[in-house]
Amino acid sequence: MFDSMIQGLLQVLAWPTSGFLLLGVLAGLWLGAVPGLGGIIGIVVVLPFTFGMEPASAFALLIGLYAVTATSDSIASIMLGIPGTAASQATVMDGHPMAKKGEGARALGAAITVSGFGGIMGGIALALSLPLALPIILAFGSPDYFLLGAFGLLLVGALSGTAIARGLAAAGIGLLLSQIGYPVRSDVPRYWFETYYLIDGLPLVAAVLGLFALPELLGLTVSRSSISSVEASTDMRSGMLQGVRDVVRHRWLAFRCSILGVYIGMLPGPGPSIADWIAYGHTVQSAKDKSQFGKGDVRGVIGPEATNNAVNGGSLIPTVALGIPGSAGMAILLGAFMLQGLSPGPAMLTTHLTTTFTLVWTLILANIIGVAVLFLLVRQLAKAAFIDGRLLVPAVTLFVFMGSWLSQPHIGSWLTLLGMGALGIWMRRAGWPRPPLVLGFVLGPIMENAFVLSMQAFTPMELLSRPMTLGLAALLIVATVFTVRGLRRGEQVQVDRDDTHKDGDPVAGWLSLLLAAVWAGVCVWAFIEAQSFPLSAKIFPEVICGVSFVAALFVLAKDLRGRLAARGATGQIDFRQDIRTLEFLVWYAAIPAVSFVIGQIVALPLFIAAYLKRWGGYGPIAILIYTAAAVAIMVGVYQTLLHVKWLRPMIDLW
Amino acid sequence: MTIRDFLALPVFATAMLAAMPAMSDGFYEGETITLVTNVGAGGSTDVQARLFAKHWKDHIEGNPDFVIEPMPGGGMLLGINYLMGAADPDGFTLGFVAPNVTTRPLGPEAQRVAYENFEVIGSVNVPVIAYARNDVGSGLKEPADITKVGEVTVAGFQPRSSFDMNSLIGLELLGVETKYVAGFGGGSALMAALLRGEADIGTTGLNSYRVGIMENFVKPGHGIGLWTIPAVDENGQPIDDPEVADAPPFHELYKQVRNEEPSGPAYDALMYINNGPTLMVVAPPGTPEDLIAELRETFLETTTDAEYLADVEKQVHLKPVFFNAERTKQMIDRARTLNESEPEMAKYLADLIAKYSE
Repeated sequence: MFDSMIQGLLQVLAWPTSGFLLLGVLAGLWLGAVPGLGGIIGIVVVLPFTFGMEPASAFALLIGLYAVTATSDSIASIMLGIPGTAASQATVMDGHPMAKKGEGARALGAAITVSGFGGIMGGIALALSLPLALPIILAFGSPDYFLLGAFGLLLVGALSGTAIARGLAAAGIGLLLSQIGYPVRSDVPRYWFETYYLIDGLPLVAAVLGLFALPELLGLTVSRSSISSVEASTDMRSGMLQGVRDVVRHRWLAFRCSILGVYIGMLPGPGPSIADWIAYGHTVQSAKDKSQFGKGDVRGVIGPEATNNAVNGGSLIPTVALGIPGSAGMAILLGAFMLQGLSPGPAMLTTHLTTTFTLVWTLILANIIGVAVLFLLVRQLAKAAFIDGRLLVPAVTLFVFMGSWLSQPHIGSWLTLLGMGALGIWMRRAGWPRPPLVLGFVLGPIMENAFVLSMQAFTPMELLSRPMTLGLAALLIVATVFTVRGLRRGEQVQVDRDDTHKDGDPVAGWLSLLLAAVWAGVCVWAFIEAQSFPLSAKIFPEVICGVSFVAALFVLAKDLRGRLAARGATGQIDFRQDIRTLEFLVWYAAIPAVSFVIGQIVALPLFIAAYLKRWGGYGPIAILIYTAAAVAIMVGVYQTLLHVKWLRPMIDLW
Repeated sequence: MTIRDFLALPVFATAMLAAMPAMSDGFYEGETITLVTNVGAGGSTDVQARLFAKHWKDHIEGNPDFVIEPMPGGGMLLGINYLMGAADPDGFTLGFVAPNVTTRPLGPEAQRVAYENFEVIGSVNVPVIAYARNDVGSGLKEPADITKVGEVTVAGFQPRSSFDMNSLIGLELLGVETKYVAGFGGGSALMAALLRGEADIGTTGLNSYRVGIMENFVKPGHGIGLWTIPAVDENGQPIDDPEVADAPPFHELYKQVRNEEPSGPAYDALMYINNGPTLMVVAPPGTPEDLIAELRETFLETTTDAEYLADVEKQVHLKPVFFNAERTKQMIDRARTLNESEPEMAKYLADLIAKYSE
C-alpha cells in the first residue's frame, strides 16, 4: 500500500501529468469564479480531450479542474453576493456583507484558506475511508435518507430566526417548486403546464442564480454605488492575513465542517448544493454569539467553505469504491472511468490501487495549488468591491444569463432566472428569508424519493426495527426540541434580510402581506391539482401545501395586524426605489423578449450598451469597448469553447 | 445576410480560393458535425456516442471533427425534439439518442415521438440482464433457483421502464411472486438498494452490468446474473452470442425450469420490449438524401471497424449488436402500429403497466 501511495504521488508529479494538473487547476479556478459555469461544465468540456491519455494525466486534468471550483466560487459569493456555483450559496450570507463593510480581502483570505484546508481534509478522508466506505454507505437506507432530509429542513429554523413563519412559507415555496415535473415512480408529470422544459423540474442553476443574482444586480443599479459602502483600505494584505488568522482561530469549526462535508459527500444524493447550507446551519447553531450572522460574521464564511471543498473528497469515495456517484459531477467522472477502461469498485483498492492514489494526490495537490494561485490574486480581486457597481452589473448580467442558458439551452432557463429573480427581489423587500426556499427546493426531491421508496419497501414494523432509523429519528426529535426552544427564546437570527430599509417600512409590510396572500392562494390551487395525481405522487404536494398554507396564514395575520397598528402613522411613503425596481425588472425582461426577435448574441450586447448609457451614464467609447468585449466573450468562450446552442430568433442577424 | 455572414465574407472568399482543389475531397472536408445526445454527459449513452464518433470520422470522406452536444431534459425529449424540429437538416447536426422506441407508444400521448419522420442512419442494441441477490429466500446457487425462493422484491424506476418490464414479465413467466418497489434514481441507486437488502432483483444494460454490477455486486459474492435477453434477427429468432455468458438467455432458463419453449403474449412482450434500438443514430427530417446515404454506409463500415470494436470492448465491455437503417425503421414501424398489428400483446403490456402503476 505504501508503495502504491508513493507510486501515485510520483505519477502525479511526473510530466506531463503535473502539467495537466496545473492546467486543470487554472481552468477550474476560472470556471468556479464565473457565476453559472462551475466544475460540471468544465468536466464536460475537457472530457473528450482525455481520450487516449494515461489515466493519471486524465484524472489530473479532470479532478484538478473539479476540485478547485469550490475554492474560487467563493469569489463571486463574497464580492458580488452571487453564488459562483451551487456549492457556495451559503457563503453569500456573511461573505457578501463583509465585502460591503470593506472586509472583502479578509473574507476572501478566510474562504481561500479554509477551502484549501477542507479540500486537503477531503483528500485524506478519501485515502482513509475507501476500505470502510461500503459499510458506512450501506448503513443508510431509504428511510434514513428521508430523516437526513428532515434534519436539513430543520435548518429553516436556524436560518429564519424571528421570521420563522415567513421562513416556513419560503421553504414551502421551494418544496412545491421541487414538485414540478415527473414524480418519483410515475411517468405522469406534475404542475408542468404541458411544457417539456418543466417535465424534469426547474433547473437548480437558473433558479439559484435568479434568486440571488438579480436582487444584488438591482441593489448595485439603484444604489448607484460600489459594492463596498466604505472607502477602500490601502492595506488589503493585512485584511487577507486577518482572514487566515480567523481560520486558525476557528480551526475546530473548520475541522468539524470539513468532516461534515466528507460525510455529506459520501452519501449519494444530497451533494454539494446542500452541504454548504448544512454547514452554515451548524455554524450558526453552534455559535454562542449569533448576533452578527447575516451581517458579516467570518464564521459564516469559514463553515460552508470548509465543507464545500471537503465534499469533493467525500463524493469520490462511493464513486471510486462502489461505482455509485456521490454527486452530479461524480456521475460525469464515472464516464471518464469508463473511457479509461476502469471499473470503479473493489478493484480500485487492489489491482488499480496506484490509480486510486493518483486521485488522492491530485485532489490534495490541486487544493494546495489552487490556494497558492488565489492568494496571489486576492488583493486584486478584493478591489472589485470598490469599483462603480454600474460598471460591474453588465458583465455580471452577461455571465449570469449565459450561466443559466448553459445549464439548459432553452428559453425556459431565462424565464426561470427572471421569475426566480423577481421572486427573490420581492422576498428580500418583503423581509422573507431566501435560504429556506433553496433548502426546500434541494431537499424536496431527496425526501420524497426516500419517502416513496420506504413506503413500498418496508412495513411499519420493519421500519421500527431498524436501529439506524430509530437512532436518527431520536436525534431528529432532540434537534427539533432544541430548535423550537431556541426560536422561542429568540436566540436565532434571520440571516438573510434587507437592511437598506427601516424597520416598520410600510411598503415592505404590504409586500409581505401580498406575498403571503398570493402564496396561500397558490397552495390552495396546488392542493386541488394534486387530487388528480396517483397516490404516491400526491402525498408530498398535499403535505407541503397544507403546512405552507398555515404558515402563509400566520404571516398574513401578523402583517395585517402590523398594517392595522400602523394606521394613522404619519410620514410620506417613498416609492421612488420601488418604481426603479420595476423599471429594472422591465429592462431585464426585455433581454429574452429582444432575443426572441434578433437573437441572444445581439440582444445581450445591446442590453449592455443601453444599460451603460441609461444607468451608468458612460460615453460612447467606453460603451463600445465594453460591448465589443462582451461580444468577444460570447463568441470566443460560449460559442466556440463551450459550443453553446443559441436560440433561433425571428430575424437572424448573427 | 447576417452580421456574421457580412464579417465573414472576405474570409470566406479567401478560403474558397484556397480550398478549391480540396472541395472534391468530400462534403465534410474541414467541417464539424455536432452529434446531439438526449441525455447528460458522462453516462453510458454519452460515452458510446463519443466512442462511435471517434471512429466514425475516419470512415466519412473528409474526416470531419465531431462535437458531442448533450441536450438532456424534458424526459429525454428536449434533445429529440430539437433534432426533429429545430436543427438544420444540413448534415452538420446529427443525433445519437436513447429513443425508448418500444416503450414510448405505451405512455401518455404527449410523450410519444414520431420517429418515422427522422432520417434514420442506424442503431445499436445493448442486451439487458436481470440480476439478483444470492441470499434471497433459501438462496440462489444458479439462476433456475429463482423459482424456489417464494416472493421476491423487484427494484425499478417506473412501470413503463423497459428494464422494469424485463424483471416483472420474466418473473411472471417463471411463476415467481413479485413485490415491486419503483422510484430509484438510476442504475447505481438500484444496485445500492440491492446491496442494502431493500430489494432482491433488478435489470440493467449488459454494459452497465459488466462495468458496475459485476465489480461491485457479483464478484464480491453478493449476487448473480439471472437471465439475458439476446437481440433477435429479422425473423424474431434470438441471435446466439457466445460472448454473452454472464447469464443464460431467457428462453433457455425458461426451458430449464418449465421444460417447454416459451410462447404467448407475455413472452412476445418480453422480447418486443427489449428488442428495440437501445441507441439510435439519426439526422433531422429533410437532410439531403446523398448525405444520408453516405452516413448510412459509413455507419455500417464503422460497426465492423476492428479498432472501434476493440475500443468498445475495452471501454464499454461489450460487443453491441448493430442494426442498419432498414431494420431500425422496421422496429419503429412495429412500435408505432403495435395496437393494430399485435393487439393481444399490446393489451398485455397496457394491463401490466396499469397493474404496477399504483
